Amino acid sequence: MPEDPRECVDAVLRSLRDAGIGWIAEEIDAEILAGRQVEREIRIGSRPVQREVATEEYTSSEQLELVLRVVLEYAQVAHELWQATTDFARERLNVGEARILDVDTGQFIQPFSTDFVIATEKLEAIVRSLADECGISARLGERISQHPAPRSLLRVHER
Amino acid sequence: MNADLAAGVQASIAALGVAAPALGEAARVETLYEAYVACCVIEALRQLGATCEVRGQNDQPSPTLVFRTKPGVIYSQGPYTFIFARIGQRECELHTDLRVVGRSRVLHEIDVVLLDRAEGLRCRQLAIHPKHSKAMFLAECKFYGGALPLRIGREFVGLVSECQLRTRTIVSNVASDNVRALAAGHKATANFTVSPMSQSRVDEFVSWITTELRQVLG
Repeated sequence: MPEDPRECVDAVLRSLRDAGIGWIAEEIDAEILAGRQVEREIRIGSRPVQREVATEEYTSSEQLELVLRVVLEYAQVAHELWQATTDFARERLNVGEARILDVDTGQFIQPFSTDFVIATEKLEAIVRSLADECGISARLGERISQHPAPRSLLRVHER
Repeated sequence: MNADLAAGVQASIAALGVAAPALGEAARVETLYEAYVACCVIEALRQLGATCEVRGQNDQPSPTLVFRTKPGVIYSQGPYTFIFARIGQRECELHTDLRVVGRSRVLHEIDVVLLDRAEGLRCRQLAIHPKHSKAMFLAECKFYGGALPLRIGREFVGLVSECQLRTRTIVSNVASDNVRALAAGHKATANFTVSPMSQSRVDEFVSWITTELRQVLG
């Protein structure tokens, strides 16, 4: 029996909050609440057709698609950003490392643990299952059918 | 919802939270993106023939490149680095997350900014903030999972109205027609879908920066 997309949306958002990354859930909530801007062709009487702007609510399937896209974007791309930056720092700037200083705590943070790749692969598998169960795999496309492109940034090794 | 699937969702997201302290706060993810965009600017400088060096708060070469999660001052005594760049006789400094004085003498926070070297030296010496008029390039960097909210465009418009310089851009991994229109209406440029997942877009972005910097540094 297919899963209810709305229940899946709630499960993902709840899990994000439980995992201490609730700000991602808040971003998703805000986007769902804002809806989708669309243009409509309006004809009143014999006047020419006017193109007007309106807002539509996302369907529950679209909401789930949005949730999964956002989660994957943060999980996959954020890591690639850092990998590319640290590679660039070593290759182009000849520094030993790049670090992030958390200004609130005054401490340097390790952005990603060594378990990160495994965690992402498990997440991608679950996203695939959710998308399959809710019939939205095709709409998520390559994002879930394969691991994203290898990290690149500025192709430091090729220049 | 299927109990196994629900448990799998919870477990995989919990594992993500543990494995990625970078995702613990939105500000940390923004920092990752600012760092990435800064690297694109450095690459553009290099393509123009610049020599680039990481410098610490004491203006000496640093073995570590440091990005901070919140805007700070150019005369910070804490761990802080910037890029010193030299192109021919021209010297400049590339900073991230820096407070800069705008036209109204109000402080603004700029994600990535290229400053005249003399202004950097003057400000560190006097413990004051740099002026917007001494900046040559600024980039607001926005990393979002979904759509770019319109308020981001409004904030950017406010920033560019305070900073009169040739090259002002909003850079994001996602796109927004509305934000692009707002930027264009204020003589600024939107560079969207700039992400390590799209090498072609990164190449285009670096090429665009190179063209712009050639004008301002020429």
